[in-house]
Amino acid sequence: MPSRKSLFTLFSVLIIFSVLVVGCSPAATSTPEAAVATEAPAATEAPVATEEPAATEAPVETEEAAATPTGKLRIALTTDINSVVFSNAAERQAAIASLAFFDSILFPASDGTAQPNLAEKCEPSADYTVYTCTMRKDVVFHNGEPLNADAVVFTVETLRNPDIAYPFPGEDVVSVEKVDEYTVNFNLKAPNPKFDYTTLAFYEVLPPQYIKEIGWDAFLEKPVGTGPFLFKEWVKGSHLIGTANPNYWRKGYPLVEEIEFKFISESSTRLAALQSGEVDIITRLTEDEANTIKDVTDLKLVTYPLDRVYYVAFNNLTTGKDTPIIKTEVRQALNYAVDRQAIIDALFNGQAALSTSLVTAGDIGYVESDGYSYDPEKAKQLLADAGYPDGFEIDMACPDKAYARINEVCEAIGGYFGEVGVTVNIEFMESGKYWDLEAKKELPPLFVDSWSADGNPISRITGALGKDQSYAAWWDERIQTLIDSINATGNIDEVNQYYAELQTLLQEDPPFVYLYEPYTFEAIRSTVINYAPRSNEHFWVFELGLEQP
Amino acid sequence: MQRYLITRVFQSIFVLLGILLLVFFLLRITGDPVNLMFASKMRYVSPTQIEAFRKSMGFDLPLSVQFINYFRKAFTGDFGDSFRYGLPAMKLILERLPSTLRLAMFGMAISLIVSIPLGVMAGVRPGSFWDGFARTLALTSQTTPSYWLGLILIIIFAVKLRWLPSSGSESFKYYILPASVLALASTGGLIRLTRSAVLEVLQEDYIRTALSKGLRDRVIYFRHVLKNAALPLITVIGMSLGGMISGSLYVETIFAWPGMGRLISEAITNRDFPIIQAVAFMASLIVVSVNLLTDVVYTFIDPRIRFGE
Repeated sequence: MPSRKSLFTLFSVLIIFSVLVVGCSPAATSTPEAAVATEAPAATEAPVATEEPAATEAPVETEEAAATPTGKLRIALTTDINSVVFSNAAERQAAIASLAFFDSILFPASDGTAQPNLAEKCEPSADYTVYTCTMRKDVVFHNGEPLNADAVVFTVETLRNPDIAYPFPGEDVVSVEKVDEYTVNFNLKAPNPKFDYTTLAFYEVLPPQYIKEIGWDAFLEKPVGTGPFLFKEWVKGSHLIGTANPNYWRKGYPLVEEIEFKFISESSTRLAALQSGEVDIITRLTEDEANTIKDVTDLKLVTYPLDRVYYVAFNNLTTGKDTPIIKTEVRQALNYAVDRQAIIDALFNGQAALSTSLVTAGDIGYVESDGYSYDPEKAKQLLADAGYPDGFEIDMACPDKAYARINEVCEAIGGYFGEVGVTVNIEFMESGKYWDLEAKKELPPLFVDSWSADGNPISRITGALGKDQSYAAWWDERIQTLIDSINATGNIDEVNQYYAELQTLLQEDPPFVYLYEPYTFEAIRSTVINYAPRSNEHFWVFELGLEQP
Repeated sequence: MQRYLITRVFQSIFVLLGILLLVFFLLRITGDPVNLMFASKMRYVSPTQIEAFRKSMGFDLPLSVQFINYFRKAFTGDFGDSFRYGLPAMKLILERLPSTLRLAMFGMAISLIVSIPLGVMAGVRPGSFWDGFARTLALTSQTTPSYWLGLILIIIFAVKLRWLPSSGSESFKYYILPASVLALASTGGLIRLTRSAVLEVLQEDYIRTALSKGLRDRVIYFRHVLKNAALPLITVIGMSLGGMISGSLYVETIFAWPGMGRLISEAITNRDFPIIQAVAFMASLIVVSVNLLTDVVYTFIDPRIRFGE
């Protein structure tokens, strides 16, 4: 028999052990006590504090900017980042964090051009097969190593190494060679007038000596760059902290003494953290959450359309090639059949922009257009002209709950199509199965999806309609010719002209029913200055500051 | 007893093997992992890049070969590299496991501190104020969704009162809200079980004998009642600890807790198969181990099991 005290011993040990284990947890590294001590935000009668952010242009060096970085800026990221190094970043949240510690060779300006950054200039050869970059001479890494041509060559070679987890795409580059101490040549496989924007603007330069000393894996854990903040601490799944780089090459920056990224994936928790003063910037709120803070005086709501287009895609490669959707008039009719504004008003409270093609208002080459209006009579007429006066029946797939309100959107579309005589059999598929079939091009003749971009729509257009498309099912040689033309020129006027032609084609012979571009909702404390996210949600932390009382 | 324990160990190994098998095939039913990985359409990825990735991860091999490789490596704790992190899945889990265990243990401590005294009081004095209170708390606990409660507690204690932080894990005060929510799920069941076990034991002849001998209440309740009522409780506590590990998925997500639950939550979103497989195995290992431990403890407390009666 066990002793009489065994039961109590068991419970006591369990309880004491639990308390001890908790008590032995890591010591506090940062606490939001200062923020907690602030007054609760008071409701106000003031008008809605909603604003669209200004576009970030190439950074301007300001000698007279804030002399001493002040305060601690806390940013809630929506996911646990996988890496602090840009080449390894699995999503935009990690890319944003990497911008605190690294700088790229060129700066991707919001107008789709690449501006000087770590390189004073990068000039293409006449045939766009060689880019010669001249690096700044006043930049040192956080550990004191100089930034020079050797560092650039090392970076390219390191990131092209297939043995590292995420070899950087840079597929265009045949070789990179040092010309002199501060000049490098990028030799390309084929002419590429977009190489400066698509690649050089994203090559963050790495420190050769440091990586050789500690190894690649250790570097990923404790990175050293040229960026505005020095790496201080990264607790996986919890937070990442950087302190102001006193030797930052961009004079007058950064504006804050310390920056902390907190990884909070639940949007209501992010909102609570902002309201309780634990963080200063939060992103990706739902519309309902955003509405709860629009009248709060010390918080500011930031909203803008995302560079993401939602659409109903037509499939002319497999399941749809023998169906009515092959006819242009039918696809036009289905565009006229949907009251998109009513969908936006009813399901998104008006918080989305109408989409007119795969080029959005924030993209380079955008041409303003009214797009298709809601005109069911015209839709019926076009269907009759196409030989379907009584309509037809067709299948449509939707990724079940994969996007905000997407199931309701699909049902609404089915209803609108039905009103003009097109009976749609909607199948809501588990999103994993859906995307698998989408990649295999086995979805029905109609399917609903969306595609993102980053200010330069060529990625989206190539992905959705190009010859090497991955997740769409439409082929039109005229579109491919225009994509090739856009890729082949470095002349911005010609680029704009080709984009204009492409948008006209995508309107007149639509491969999609264009739906909407949703707004994103973000919020900041009113003390935050210079917060200017792009339509792809990127923002640069070096320019962020805090107003001092 | 030895035979009983050996049987239980073999049963546990069989369960773990079954889980390895199930997780592998269930995940593949959801679709091609490589196609799913690039489906967010954040950027254009060419078919060449997709195929290169497929090859580098071994997903180009026949399913049977993939399964044999997976099974063989799983025995050494190697579940492959995370798609997203590019690091061994098991390393990522072991980094986060202590955090989850700390939270679960703290949650269990809260649950036991609340449920056992209340359950005993309710069982000893049925119909009293404490009985009503305990039953109401038990009912509330069992019917309140953890997810909802977590958000409500954040609004009250973090946003309105500003007594506690809404997220993070930096110090002791960060444990209070998530551990309380985690504790809630098991508290109701434990209160009810303690209450019914105490009520049942109080009807036994040996308690009547003890009462007739004039023993003090304290001695009867603590030496005789609680000890005999503990048998079913130990089983349920073991199961509750397993429940807390699985419940950590929601709680860690709400409170941005850097543990294993959050890791798998994000892995599911990102279709990170190696992490999902490794977490499923690790969580199962913990639950199976706790159950095995419960059985061992049981044999010490109940001699009928020890002597094979």
